[in-house]
Amino acid sequence: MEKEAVETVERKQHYILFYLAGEIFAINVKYVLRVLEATTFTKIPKGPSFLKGVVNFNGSVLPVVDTYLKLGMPAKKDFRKSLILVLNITAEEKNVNLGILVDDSDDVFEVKDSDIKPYPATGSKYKVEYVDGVIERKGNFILILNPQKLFATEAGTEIGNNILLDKENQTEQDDQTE
Amino acid sequence: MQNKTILFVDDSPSIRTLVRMILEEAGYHVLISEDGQDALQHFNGKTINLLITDLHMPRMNGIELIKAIRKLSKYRYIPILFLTTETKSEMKNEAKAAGATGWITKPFDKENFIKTINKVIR
Amino acid sequence: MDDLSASFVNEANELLESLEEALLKLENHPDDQEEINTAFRVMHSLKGTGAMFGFEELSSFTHEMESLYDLVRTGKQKADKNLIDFTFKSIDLIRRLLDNPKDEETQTMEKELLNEIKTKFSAGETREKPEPLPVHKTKEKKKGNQVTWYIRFEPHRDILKNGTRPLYLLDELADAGGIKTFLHTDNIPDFKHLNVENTYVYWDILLSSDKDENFLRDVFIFVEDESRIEIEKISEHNLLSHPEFEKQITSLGLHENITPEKLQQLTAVLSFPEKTEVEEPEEEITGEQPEPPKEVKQDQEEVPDKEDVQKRILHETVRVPSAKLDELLDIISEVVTTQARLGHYSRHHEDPELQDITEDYEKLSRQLRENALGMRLIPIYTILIRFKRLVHDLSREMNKEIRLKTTGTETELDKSMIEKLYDPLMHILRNSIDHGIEPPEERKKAGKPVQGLIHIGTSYQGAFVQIKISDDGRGMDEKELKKVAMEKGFIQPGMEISSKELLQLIFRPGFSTSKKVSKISGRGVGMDVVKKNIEDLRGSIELETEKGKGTTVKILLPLTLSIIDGLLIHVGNNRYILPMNNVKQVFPVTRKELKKSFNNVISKDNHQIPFVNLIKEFEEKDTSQKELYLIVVDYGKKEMGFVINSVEGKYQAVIKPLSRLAQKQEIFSGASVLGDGEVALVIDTNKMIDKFINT
Repeated sequence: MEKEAVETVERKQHYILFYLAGEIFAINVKYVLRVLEATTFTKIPKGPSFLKGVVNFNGSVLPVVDTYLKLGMPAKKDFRKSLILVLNITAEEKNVNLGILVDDSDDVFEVKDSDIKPYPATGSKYKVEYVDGVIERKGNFILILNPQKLFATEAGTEIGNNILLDKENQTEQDDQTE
Repeated sequence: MQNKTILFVDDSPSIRTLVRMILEEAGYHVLISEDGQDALQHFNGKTINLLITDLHMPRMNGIELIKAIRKLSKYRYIPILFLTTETKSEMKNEAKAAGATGWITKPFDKENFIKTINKVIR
Repeated sequence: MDDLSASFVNEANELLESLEEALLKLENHPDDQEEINTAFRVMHSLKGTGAMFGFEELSSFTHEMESLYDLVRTGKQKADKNLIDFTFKSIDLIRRLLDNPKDEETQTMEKELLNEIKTKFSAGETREKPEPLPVHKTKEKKKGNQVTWYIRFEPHRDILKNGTRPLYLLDELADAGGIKTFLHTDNIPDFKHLNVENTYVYWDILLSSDKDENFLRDVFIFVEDESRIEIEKISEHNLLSHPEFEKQITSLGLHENITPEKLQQLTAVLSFPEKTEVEEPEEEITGEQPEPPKEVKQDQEEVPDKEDVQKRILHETVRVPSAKLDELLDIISEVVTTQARLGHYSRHHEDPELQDITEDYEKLSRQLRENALGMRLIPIYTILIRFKRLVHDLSREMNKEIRLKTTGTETELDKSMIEKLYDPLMHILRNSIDHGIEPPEERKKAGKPVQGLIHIGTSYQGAFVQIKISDDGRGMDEKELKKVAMEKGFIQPGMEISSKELLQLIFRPGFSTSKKVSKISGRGVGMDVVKKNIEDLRGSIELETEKGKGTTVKILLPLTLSIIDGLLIHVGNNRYILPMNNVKQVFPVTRKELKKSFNNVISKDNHQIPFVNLIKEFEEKDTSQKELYLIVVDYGKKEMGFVINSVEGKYQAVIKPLSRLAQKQEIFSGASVLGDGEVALVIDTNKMIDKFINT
């Protein structure tokens, strides 16, 4: 496991903002290669449930993670307006590209490390190791996700790791968000 | 006899080992190479008192090696012996024409081998 | 000397491997001069080196083989099946000769083979035999009489340029007895014409020694062709120790011209205690005038081997760095992808001319691709051959008897993959030899043949190549494995674990079942590395074992870089690619037929074909009423069918790896970007069938 939490106080880093089912998240831009429009996926029959499918990314085959399922949100059916954040993470000592589906993403901003508050270990929705911290911005609390930890194990396990703190049932929910 | 350096070139590892043993036993300092190309790298200004080379080798064969060395001013006159299994004279003549001093016929025994060497460096 | 012999044996084995390789190639290309030369060279080296290390039987046998291959080289003998089979047999013999030349069976075999050479391959031929190697003759030293020799030595002018020091030769003579030399300088030109690199002086030499003429000639052996050397026995006595003679001789000047005649006059008057008889001076030994010294120019490269060079060019294969082949392949992948786009475009535009061009372009790109891929393919025997020796050596070291059997060695894999396979395969083999196969006594007790067997079988499995390494050794004990796993903390007490999971633990870092560290395979170290190596090739590795029966390691490798011929099909709204080489037939089927089918077996052309309905299995909604299709594929020796919606057509697919994230499923071997930019998955028919029919 990498130790990324220890940072110097003065450092500022860039984060990309994105929305999922009304919640706001951010990811360090160092992980983000591109933002694509979600067009058509090629689904993978009998593939892992957290994989929405694969798309063509610069001539190579990019797996796309169903972020809603992953983050325990209501399943989404219509992706026509969605975006795909193309991330590059390290999994089992290898660089892996993967896409994550998001509703929208419209901003990159700079945050001082000291402005990032720790994510409470209890009483929260997600396990603390998947969240690098929380920032307050324009009156919203934004969770900074750690894609490295969040998605790296996907490469090694058949089922996505359970990232929800309160083992809430992750099976299909049919109600559709917006 | 001491402190003379002999470079031995042959693509057969076992022959290299054998020859190195014989020569070191006889008190020579021994360098080895596996082909002509490799051997050339030893001709970088250091003193080499004798070159013994096989003729059939990959990359740079013995004849080419001999020719190349005879062009280096420092090594123009060093004795060069070549190893040969050929008993035909063409090969010998070719090697002589290229500048070889003499030859050692394979297989050789220790005694004759050292004798031949003593013939060209004393 | 023992280590040395061993190093020769090693080397000989390597040579034999390269010979085997050459023979395998010759089988397909009997006229391949390069391989013929390899065979010749191997025999030649074995002959020469073998004799040096005291393998005389081997040396004399390879001498015969060398002669035989000389015939082949010169076109007098064909490299036909007979010859190749025979050579394989001789390789066996040579291995035996390396092993134990005195063995009776080996000697009989040698006799048989030698006989075969005579009867089969040289019938009536007059073949030019390279001379057999002289066995070292320990020179008989005729001890005794000191006789006196007269020697005239006129070195050729360029003698220094060949690295010869004329004085060393005189020294060498001096070592043989008493010597008296007269130096002649009359050939030295005036200073203006003097070339300091030339040698102008010559000598008259008197030598009293017990050595014979051959010895003296040997002294000059390296220079005799170019220099003028006269050797004459002038007395059966040691003149130099004769007081009278010595007196006479020392009165002569240093530069005195000495001739045999003059010497005879001198000796005639001498008296010797016993015999006074003076040998008749033999006739002039070198009647001819010394040839004018050849101008040995140092830059005469073009002279000797023109023909050789030409030959070399004719048979040369071009070496290309792998990186360039990789680059070529990348470009071709782009070409194929572009061609797919062109095809897509031209289908949507009714333009006959465009369609013509597209078709031509497609043909060309297919040829181009096959060509490039072919360049990269290497049969797997190229590495398996190297293992033969490993098994041989290690089993010897371990005092085990093991035979390595290889099948399917013609299976071709991409070059880069072959290279990366060496280490993992070697590791697996070492494990089998070290831990798997039991020592002979143990095998006997277990009622097994004393000789253990390791079998490496390679075969194509759909879009994969399977390499199966199985041994008939002791296998692994699940209980033992479980215990170790527990000790090492891989599993907790009371934890349920399936045997499959248990075996997978072997591939985890730090897991070992070996009780003690062994020199050969270490301790379990490396199975994790093996797995990683294989996965880096996007392959998979699996282990099966049965206690007392043996262990099998199965490696599946995708034909990674492959651009394959595929069939583009539709299942629901999605498109897939089926590798064309698996597809046997395509039938239309009606929904009615499907409904009538019992147990997912359908009857076509009087064949009962079990099938998988992909529409159902892929959870597609089957809303259209259109006709469906049944694609019949090979599944081992059986036929199986897939029910799909429609067939779009043939398609050249550049197979891209599915990301690691998506590899966890087992039914697709890759994906391909289609002409319109979308992605289609490539179906692995075997795995698909395994998944839906066999489980």
